[in-house]
Amino acid sequence: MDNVKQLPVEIKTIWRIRALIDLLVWLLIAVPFLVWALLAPDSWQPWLWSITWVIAAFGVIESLVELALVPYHYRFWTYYINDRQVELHHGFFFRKQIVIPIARVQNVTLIQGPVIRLKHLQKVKVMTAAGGEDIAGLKEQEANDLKELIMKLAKEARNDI
Amino acid sequence: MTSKAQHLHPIALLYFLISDIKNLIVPIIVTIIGIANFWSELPIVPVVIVIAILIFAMSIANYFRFTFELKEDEIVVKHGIFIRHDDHVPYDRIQNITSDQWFFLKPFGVEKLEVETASHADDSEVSLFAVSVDLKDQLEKLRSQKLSSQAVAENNDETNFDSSKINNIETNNSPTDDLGDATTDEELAEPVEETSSNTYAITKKDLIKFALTSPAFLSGLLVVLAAYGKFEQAISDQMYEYLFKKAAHLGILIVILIVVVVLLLFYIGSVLILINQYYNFKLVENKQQFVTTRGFFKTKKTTISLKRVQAVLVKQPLFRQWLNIATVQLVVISNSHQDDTDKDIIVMPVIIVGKVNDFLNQFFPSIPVEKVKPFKPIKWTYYYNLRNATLLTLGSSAIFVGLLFMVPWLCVAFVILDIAFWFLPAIMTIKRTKVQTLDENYIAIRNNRIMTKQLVLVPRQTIQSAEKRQSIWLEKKKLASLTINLRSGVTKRKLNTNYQKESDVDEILDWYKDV
Repeated sequence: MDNVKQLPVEIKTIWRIRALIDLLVWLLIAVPFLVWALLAPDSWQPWLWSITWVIAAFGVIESLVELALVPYHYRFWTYYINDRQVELHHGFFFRKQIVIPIARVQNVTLIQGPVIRLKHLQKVKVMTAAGGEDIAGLKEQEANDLKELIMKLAKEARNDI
Repeated sequence: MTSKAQHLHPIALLYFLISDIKNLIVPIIVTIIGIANFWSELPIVPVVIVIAILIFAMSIANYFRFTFELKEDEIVVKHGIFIRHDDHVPYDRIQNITSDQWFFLKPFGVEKLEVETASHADDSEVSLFAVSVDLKDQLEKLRSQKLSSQAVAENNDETNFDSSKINNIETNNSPTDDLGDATTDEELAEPVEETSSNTYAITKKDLIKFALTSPAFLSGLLVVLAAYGKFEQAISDQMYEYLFKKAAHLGILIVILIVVVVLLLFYIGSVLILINQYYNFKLVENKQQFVTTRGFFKTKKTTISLKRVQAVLVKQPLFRQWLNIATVQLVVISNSHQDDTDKDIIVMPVIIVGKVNDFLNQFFPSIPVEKVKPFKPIKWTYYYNLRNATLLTLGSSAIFVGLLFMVPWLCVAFVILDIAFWFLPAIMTIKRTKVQTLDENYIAIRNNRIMTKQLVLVPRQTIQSAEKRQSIWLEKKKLASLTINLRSGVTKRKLNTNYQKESDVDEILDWYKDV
């Protein structure tokens, strides 16, 4: 585990499903306005129709942008773990490099929502005494190994607050 | 060392009584009024007497239920009448011990003691309302015994504020050795009470300087203004118009006078409060612990274990910068939910800038503070900060102009204020921001928060995570931003430095990774 790694390819599918779910949420917000527009008196109609369209259009654009950015996020989201620290990198145009020494790790949390479970992935949260950082998704086995490794190393490098 | 479960000093009855009355007075009055509405001949006097007796009985019960016990490795506090609490706090988990003593408690030789751990509890885990003043020393002794036995066990403890300290105490017991060739403040020449302890006591002159230059009254004023905003919503427009007319009669000069008087009152109030709070301020460093004592009406004593110190902060609000004085504070882990500025513990209320290094050398000999040198910001730092300020000014000015274009003079005034509002902090940020490694254990971060100049000295051990931020455009100019996360109070403290030389940022990251 001594080289820079990418997230599993399946995470792309997850992100795409998320984008679609976001679209669905926006459309669900638009539906009541649509119903209202159908029932409302004539004078209100133009307003309500435009509100419905704006919400729906915003949802569609937002999801399209999200979908379009999936390969970008995937390509530039990497992590690196050795026996001293966890490093996370994201972004290309706006880059972030986060360093968390294993000795500072307080606990590791594995989270699995219904969507991510479809692809047998797990979200890994690396927590320190001052908040934490997420690794968006790892294969279940890999997440478990990672958790074991970090906790083993953290025990060795114990430095309590 | 084991002792029996003890009760508080009988004076604690008063505390319980007052807190019970405080908690119950409003619901009782509401209930009585409610009942009186239905039953007009309610015998008020007997009812009040019965309730008073009940409250009194409750306080007495509370008092007798409340016991504490110093066991071998923990303090156990039991309290509560209906819901019984058993609080156990191991000595080695204690973060800070605070005691405060109102002046009227002095004759009884008792004080209030609060013990904090790193847990996320709302209040301190243990509050002992009235215990003998000796208890604090006892507790501290127990705690330092526990900690030192641990320190011996962990032979190869990582370098921290404290571990270097342990060596220091073991190798040389005289405090003056720590000073090296540094010239000592006159105030510091006070006789040392305990062996191997460092002491600083504030002089009257310094205290007054500190109180006069604090920007605290501004925040008090903001609170009042916010309350006024709510009040303003409540009063009717007619009333407002009436008042406005009245005010117009008074003339602009009188209005200005009123504003000045209000400001002055706030200022004087805050000065008096600060003098009361920091009266007789004293700092003692002894065996890995800092003890600060302060207060006029209420003497407050705080003990901080060096092990809990996350960073040392040298702060200069604008007023103090003009007078060339600074304040030294500690970032610590505590239960505090307060703002950053309130939860940092002041270890040095006011010091001349030229003497900060001496002070730090005396109390934190492990920090190579001399290596913090003046610097010249690079031109791209100027460019980006000024660009951001320009964009923000343009944006907000456009809004003002859009709203106020009918009143040109007001427009101009707002735009000028707007420019000052964005550009002054930007210029200060440019001149004050720098990251730098001092040696293998410490870094120095200098930055600006609104108008306050900050120097933060951070040991590697307490940095929870580090973050480098950069865009491809910044990369071309060899610039990057750095964020360091520390623990402070119950939350995190972010130390941001934007638009720095990439080489400086990389140096810090490499230093940090090379554990």
